[in-house]
Amino acid sequence: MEYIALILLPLLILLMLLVVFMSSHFSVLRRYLKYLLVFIFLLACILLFLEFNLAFILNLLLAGICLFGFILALSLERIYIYTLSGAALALSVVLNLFEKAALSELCAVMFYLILTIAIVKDIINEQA
Amino acid sequence: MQSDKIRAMLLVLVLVFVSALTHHYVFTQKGILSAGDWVHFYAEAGTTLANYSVYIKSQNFGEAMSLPNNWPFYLVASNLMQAGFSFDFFTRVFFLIPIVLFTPIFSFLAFKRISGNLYAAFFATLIYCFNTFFLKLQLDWLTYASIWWIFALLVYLVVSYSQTKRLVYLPIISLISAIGIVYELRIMLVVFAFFGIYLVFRLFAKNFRDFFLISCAFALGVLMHSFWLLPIFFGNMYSDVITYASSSIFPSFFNIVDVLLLRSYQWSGGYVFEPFIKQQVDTLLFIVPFVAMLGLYSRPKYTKFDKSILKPLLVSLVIFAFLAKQANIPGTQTYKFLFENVPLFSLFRESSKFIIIVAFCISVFGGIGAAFIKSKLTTKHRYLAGFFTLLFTFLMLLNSVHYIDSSVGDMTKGVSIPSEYIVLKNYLVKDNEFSRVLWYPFRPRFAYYSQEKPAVLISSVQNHIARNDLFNNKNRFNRFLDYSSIKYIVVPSSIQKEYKYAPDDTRIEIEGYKYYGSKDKYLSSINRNTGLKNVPVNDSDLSFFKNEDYFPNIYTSKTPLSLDYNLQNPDYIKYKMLTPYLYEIPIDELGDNDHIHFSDAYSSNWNMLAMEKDNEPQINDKQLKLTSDKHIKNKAGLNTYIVDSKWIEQVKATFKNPAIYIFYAPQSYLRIGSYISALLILITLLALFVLLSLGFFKRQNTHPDITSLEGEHK
Repeated sequence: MEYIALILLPLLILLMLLVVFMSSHFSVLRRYLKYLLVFIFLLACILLFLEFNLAFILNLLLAGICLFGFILALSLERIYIYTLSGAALALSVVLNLFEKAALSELCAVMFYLILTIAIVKDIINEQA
Repeated sequence: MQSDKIRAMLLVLVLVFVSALTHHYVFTQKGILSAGDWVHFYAEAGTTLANYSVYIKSQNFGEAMSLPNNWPFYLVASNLMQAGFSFDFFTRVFFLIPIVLFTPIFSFLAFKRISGNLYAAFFATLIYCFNTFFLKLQLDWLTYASIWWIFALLVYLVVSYSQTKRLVYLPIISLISAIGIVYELRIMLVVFAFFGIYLVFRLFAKNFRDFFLISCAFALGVLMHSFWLLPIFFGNMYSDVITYASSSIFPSFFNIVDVLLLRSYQWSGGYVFEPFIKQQVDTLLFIVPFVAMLGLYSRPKYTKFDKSILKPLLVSLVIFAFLAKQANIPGTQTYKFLFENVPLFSLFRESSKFIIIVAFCISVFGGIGAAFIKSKLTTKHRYLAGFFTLLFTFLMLLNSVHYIDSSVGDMTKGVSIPSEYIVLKNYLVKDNEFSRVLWYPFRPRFAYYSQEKPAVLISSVQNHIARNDLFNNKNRFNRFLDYSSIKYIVVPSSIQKEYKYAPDDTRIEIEGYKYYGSKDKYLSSINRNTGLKNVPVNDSDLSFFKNEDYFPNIYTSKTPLSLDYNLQNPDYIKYKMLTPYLYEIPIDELGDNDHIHFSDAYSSNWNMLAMEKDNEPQINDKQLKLTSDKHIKNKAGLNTYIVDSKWIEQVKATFKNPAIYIFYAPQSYLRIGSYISALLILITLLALFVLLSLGFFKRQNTHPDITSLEGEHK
């Protein structure tokens, strides 16, 4: 898993840079990549929270990706955030039915993380 | 609006009726409702509970009271027991009945205040009262379960105050906070953390008046506990008490699934299984996070949500859910970091205490989610909405189905005391002399103990003095028993008559020695180490040993006490235990260079002092204290005072009719603290009375509709 994380990380960073540079030219691309980046954020969060034995600098990068993804996720429409969280919860139920407790827990973590985004978005909206 | 009130009352009645029905055992069971961690006291131990003391004589070798906040309850229990009621009666009246009846009422009121919607409040109450975590708490952790109604009531009062600005809510907040601390200190700290978040948001909203007044109300509630806060913080007791807080974290039993589902990890198929073993999650329990998510989504469009509490609820849901899953993913190291670095966090060695806040937040949003579905169905077909209401109620109540048939555990079934424990209790009660009873290897639920017959746990002996040092040497072990006033050793019955149920309804018998090994091991250990003989009790499996050579609570010798040789010419002097924290020794009893041994665990707080002899000695009077260098911890871990002739002469010269006293010093702060507590409670009650009277006269002169307790949502 650590190797996967090590390979995945630079790829994620490259992808992010690509999106940042290209999005201003291709608005359609930006719209769809936004969702992709939210998934990347979730993946980064899970990698970070599972605490893989990564070097300090890699953890820092992961944290950066998390923060970037988090800010980006806030710009998603409310209904999509809740749909995503609903999907994670549904997946958790299904995995629990098949007695895959660890995977079900992982999906519940995703549900919790997406719900956190939704809550932060709600708080910001209320503040406004 | 009137019909809304009638509907609200009907819904509350339904909730209370359902709660009473599912918990019918509280009113109908004839047996003793005691299981798991919930204690039982015999009526004969009633006086032990009433001691106006911060010192517990009845446990081990005597120890500082770890949770003196419970003391008012002990006082009430003691008075009831001395008036002829049982401890079980006290348990039902002060714990179980409020949990069963008040939780639905106050949570409904709170949810109604927050959401401004009747059905959202109804569904939220169902989630809050019938989730498996709360149901499990009611099986043995009654102090925690009691905070569920206290917390709901506090939220109701705080939100009501911020909506109506009526000052009358503030003194009630203080009093309820104080009552909450009496029930369970640690959970109240979590509750205060929640209100801390609430107050921070009040500050952000620049509502300084609310921030100041609500903070003062809570602070007043805390200060009402001066009676034990003073001895702990000023009476040199803090270090003793903090040692009871665990130095290491428990394993993490609750993961994010359990937390979001408000589920006890031991719960499966409506039953509670062996602690510390995770069970398969029932799929139906996923309804709770689903409706909560829907509630979070639909809230802005659907309800008149109270603005003042919305953000605190949202933030608390995220934070407390994160804490409640302890070291499970996500963020596995955070809990450990907080445990090691944040003051008072070490009181939370496991994370289940945070779930109360998560449960409240999820219930609020879950209620709104369910009400949202109902409203959508109403627009299509009214009957469909009614069916949904019934279905949701049924699914929530399904968790408590084994409460109805009383098969979920001994708390619902009631138990009777095994006859051998009653025989043993009667025997120990008849023995008036002070001596200790060593329970080996554990103390069962119905073991008798009192301040005259303290129960010593073998684990406390091991903490007290090195185990290897003691258990590998027969003579040393025997001397230890003698010096520490241990007269009896009891090895409990081999079967601890408790049962659990498997999903297929087969009864599993739990053996008392399951975690300790075979009983023979302990019997042979006692025979090997003491040479004492087993005395049968009522033809039962309970094994009872008597050590006739034990020493009294206070004795003297000319030489220091050692476990390596017998005490030379010990003298059983006359002494009087005035209270467990104060002992009187006539001065004539003491000779030159006497070592006075007091067989309670050594603590620097045990002071020896001389005063005028009095029937009711006052510690505040003029006194002459023995210097601390003459007070030592002896080889048995007990107190020894070295009294030389010079000090005796000084005492005789100072006082006309002196006596020597051994006194637990933090106790003197209890009196001052109690005066402060009593004064604050009186002032608060007076303020409440004045505010209520003013409100009453104001209402007489204005419009009667404003009098509604429910109030109108603003």
